[in-house]
Amino acid sequence: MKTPLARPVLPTLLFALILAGCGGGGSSGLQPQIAASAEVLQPGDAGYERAVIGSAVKAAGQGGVSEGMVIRIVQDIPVWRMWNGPARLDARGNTNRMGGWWSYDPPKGTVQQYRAAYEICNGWNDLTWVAKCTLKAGSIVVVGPGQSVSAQTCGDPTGLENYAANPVDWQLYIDKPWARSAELVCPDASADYEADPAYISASQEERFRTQP
Amino acid sequence: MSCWTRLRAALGREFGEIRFWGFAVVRPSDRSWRLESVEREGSTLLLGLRDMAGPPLPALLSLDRPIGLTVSAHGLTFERAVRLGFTAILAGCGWPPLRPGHPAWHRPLRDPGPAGADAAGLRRIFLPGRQR
Repeated sequence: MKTPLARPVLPTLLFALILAGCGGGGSSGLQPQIAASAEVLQPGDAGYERAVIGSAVKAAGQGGVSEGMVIRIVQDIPVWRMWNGPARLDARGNTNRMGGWWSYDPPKGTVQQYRAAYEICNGWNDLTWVAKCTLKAGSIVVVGPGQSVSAQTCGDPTGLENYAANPVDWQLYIDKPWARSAELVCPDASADYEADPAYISASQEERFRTQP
Repeated sequence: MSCWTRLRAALGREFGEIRFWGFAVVRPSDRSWRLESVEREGSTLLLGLRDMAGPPLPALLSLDRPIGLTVSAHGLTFERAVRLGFTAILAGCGWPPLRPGHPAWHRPLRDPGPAGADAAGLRRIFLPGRQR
């Protein structure tokens, strides 16, 4: 009989959600999926300034995170970033594989869901490829829930493209990752995969193989 | 201190954003730009901005007849210019290299931009400084 189990389960679930802050975390304030891998630093702690929290936390409508914590990673964790892929080079031969914004949750859902979850304007990133790197123990970065992005920030004169703040899918801000190769270790770009827009946790090839 | 002197003094400074009337050309704080050169061609001011994640070839931000320069801890701001351009504007980084008609692309800069853009601080070409 399943019905009687519902009562004891509900308070337990509510407690767990409260403990987790419905997107926040336990006593550290971190989300459960990262709480065991990081410690929170306070202003004045050694290395705190390296996170450059002022570049991550922004006002409503401006992107970034709405509030941030500076953390030191205590054990290596995988981090993900979506980018435009190796074929999209600018005039200087550069790609956007490296940048400040990452997630510790693997990409999931559709491209549009991901774009909304991480508040990424169409003009900023095509979100077609997925890079998986390792944030090494000792790294000091900022973590927090995504801030809203206004249509003005997106550059959309119609006002249609805008994104709400998201307290659930937290983001990592790694300041100047291109200069921190000992902290953010990435495989060669050939290890990245081109995401299926309808199912970004899998490559297009994998999706093709698994579909009837 | 003249505008020119103030601009030259800003050489070497890094900016985490490039904004035109509040429109963020690239995702804020995703990249870092260093002001590497300040040149003048007639009435046009050319700012060489190096994307610090890439090779040392600066993109050029051009402003025709810019006015209202402010250089502060918050960044570098021009109140207005007659025309604005950004060469090779991250063609590979989400922004189409040519997007005629877009309000930020080579647009006459007399009007305040999209609705709401005339709020204080947004009617500007703004390169915010990196905040600590």
